[in-house]
Amino acid sequence: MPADTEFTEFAAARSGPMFRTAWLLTGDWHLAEDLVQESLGKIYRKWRGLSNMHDPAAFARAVLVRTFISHRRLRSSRERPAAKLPEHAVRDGDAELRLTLLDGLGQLEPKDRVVLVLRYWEDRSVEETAAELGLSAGAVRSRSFRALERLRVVLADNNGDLSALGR
Amino acid sequence: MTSNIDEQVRQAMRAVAGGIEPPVQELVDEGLARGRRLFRRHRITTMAGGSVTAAAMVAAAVFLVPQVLPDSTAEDLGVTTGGGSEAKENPAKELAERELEMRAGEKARPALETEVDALVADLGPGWTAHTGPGFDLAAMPTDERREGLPDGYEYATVVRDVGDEIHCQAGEEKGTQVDACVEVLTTPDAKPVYVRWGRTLIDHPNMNYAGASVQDDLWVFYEQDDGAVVTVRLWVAEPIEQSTPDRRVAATEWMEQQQDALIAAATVGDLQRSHR
Repeated sequence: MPADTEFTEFAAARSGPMFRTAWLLTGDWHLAEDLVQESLGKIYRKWRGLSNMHDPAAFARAVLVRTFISHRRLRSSRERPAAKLPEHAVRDGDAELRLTLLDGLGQLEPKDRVVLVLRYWEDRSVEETAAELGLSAGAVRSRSFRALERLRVVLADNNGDLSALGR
Repeated sequence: MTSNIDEQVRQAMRAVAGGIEPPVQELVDEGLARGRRLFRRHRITTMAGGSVTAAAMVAAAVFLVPQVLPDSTAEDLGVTTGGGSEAKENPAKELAERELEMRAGEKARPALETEVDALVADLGPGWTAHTGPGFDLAAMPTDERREGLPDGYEYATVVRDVGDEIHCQAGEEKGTQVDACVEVLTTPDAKPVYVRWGRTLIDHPNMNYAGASVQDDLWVFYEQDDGAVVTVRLWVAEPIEQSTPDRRVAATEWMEQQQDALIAAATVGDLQRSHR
């Protein structure tokens, strides 16, 4: 078995950020838990110690988004993002904004959703996003543009307004 | 008020996800448990493949020892043999040798089937082993996994090979065009994983024949620590009479969705060189 202690420390440090990303991707608390746990399991399977890890955060993120994309298609036919959270889990108190955002993201293609989350939540550059997804930089730009346009349409159709957060 | 949609998205994500309190202990405990299960499953699969291969090699060696060892050595091992040059002149012995080759092939087949089972496991959910004729022991998508691939595609097939070379040069040959590899970040130590696409050129003279097949290919290459190169290849194909640009676009988008499963199967690590 790999060195459990070191892995546990790594997992404890990374699972929080991974979960927030997973929640934006899935829009569902329990699916986000499942996604993070599955990703941690895959990382453990390849674990060779932190000293052999070039960039732990980038690797954890890459495994997470790849697991999301590869499983998303299988699950899409039988699951619907609930866009709901246990109320105690979120402190922002802005349920309307949360639902608007998650509903908009939930209507994008999984890979487009990943592009937006990497670009705007994880603050990855176009080139970094491309490397993590195995796409060209041009493909990331076009997906990002398309996803934002789609999001704009979805929000308009639903009378959603993300600008509320700026008020 | 913020007017740009991208800045609005950025700030909205910060506002709603920043306040989440993840259940860290639960995530770590279950992640560790799943990792242990994956680790054990992989080890069992690897050991099963290794033992079957070893059994096949031992069986083949018992049959072949009389042919390749000097008489004295064979006798020392308790094996009797005929004259060394007799084989080339004795039809019965030639037949026996062919039978030995066939037996060795039969012994190796379970090892191949174990390789396919391991490939299916490494690809993740939605794949199944195909061990029938014509597919060289490949993994095939389940009906659920095929969702998005246009109906009527005759082939959607994954094979894995462990060899010595990475083929990354762009080129064109016999009506097939292949791109140069693109490097992808996926492994903990930042070892490169290469992805390469290929496609049938629809206007090539080879496509003028009835029954010509239009094919799209996706390769993933990964060099293991032992220097062995793992190649996982997915291809889809359909008759040219059926192919349309829209169908090909849909098919390649479907292939793109499978890329992560292929990468997972390529980077699993510690794979033995193929028995083929």
